[in-house]
Amino acid sequence: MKNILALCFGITMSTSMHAHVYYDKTLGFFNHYKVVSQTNMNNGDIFMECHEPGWTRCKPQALLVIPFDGVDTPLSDEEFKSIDEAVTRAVVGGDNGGRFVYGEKFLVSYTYDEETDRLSTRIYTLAEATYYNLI
Amino acid sequence: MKALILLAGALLSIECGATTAGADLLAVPTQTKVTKTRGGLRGFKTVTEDIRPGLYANLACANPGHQKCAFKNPPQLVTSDLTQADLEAIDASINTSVGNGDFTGSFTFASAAAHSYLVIFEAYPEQGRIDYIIYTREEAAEQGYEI
Repeated sequence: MKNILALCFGITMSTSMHAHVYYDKTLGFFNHYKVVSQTNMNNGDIFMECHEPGWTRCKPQALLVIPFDGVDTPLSDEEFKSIDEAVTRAVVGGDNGGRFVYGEKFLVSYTYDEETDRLSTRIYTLAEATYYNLI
Repeated sequence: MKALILLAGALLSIECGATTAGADLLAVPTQTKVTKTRGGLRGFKTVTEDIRPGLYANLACANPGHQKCAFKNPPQLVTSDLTQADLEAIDASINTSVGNGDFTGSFTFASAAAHSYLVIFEAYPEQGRIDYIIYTREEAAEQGYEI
């Protein structure tokens, strides 16, 4: 019984420990895309993707909340937009990848592939980033 | 004999002047068309110019890359007085309109040399494409547009 409880606790911890937001954008049209989706993964991660030029703006389809170690950290639309703009500015300026702390609240990590125009961004809470030695 | 040489020199001079002026006129396309398709965050992979002096100057830019969508030598190749800065201002204005959701429209642009141009643009979001044409005042009038 003790082992089962320990196992359950371990599973719960492992799912909550890994939660962060990641999103991929490929070939947009003034940040408008054909495919815009948001998926809440079983482990708590939130995955967004925006692909191909279209009519829909690339933004969260529902409120983003990043759970980590029992604490839920909301990521507002304004914060997401501001992070997205900062990442885009860095990429347009020539960076193929990097990371920065946003608002003493999140760690943002990004990579860009010019050939495919694929921009992948990860948003971690500072607690999670610290836990995984990302900062 | 001296008079004959002078006359020949004068005729030659007039002929050369006419040729130069003619070449300048021919170097001025009457309309400039720009097509941008599926560009990346940093620019375009291919940038192609097609210029017919006296007729048109076309610029086609496609696919993600790092090249700017621009003519190599706009003052001479595009019109007699549209500068690179003018073309960039036109492009920026269109980008702002499209970014704000205005996918089709037109406006009058005054070049640095104070000539008026008519700009007509149309965006096709599902194709990731923007087309625009810059008409000189004369060409716009010929096409039935008013500046």
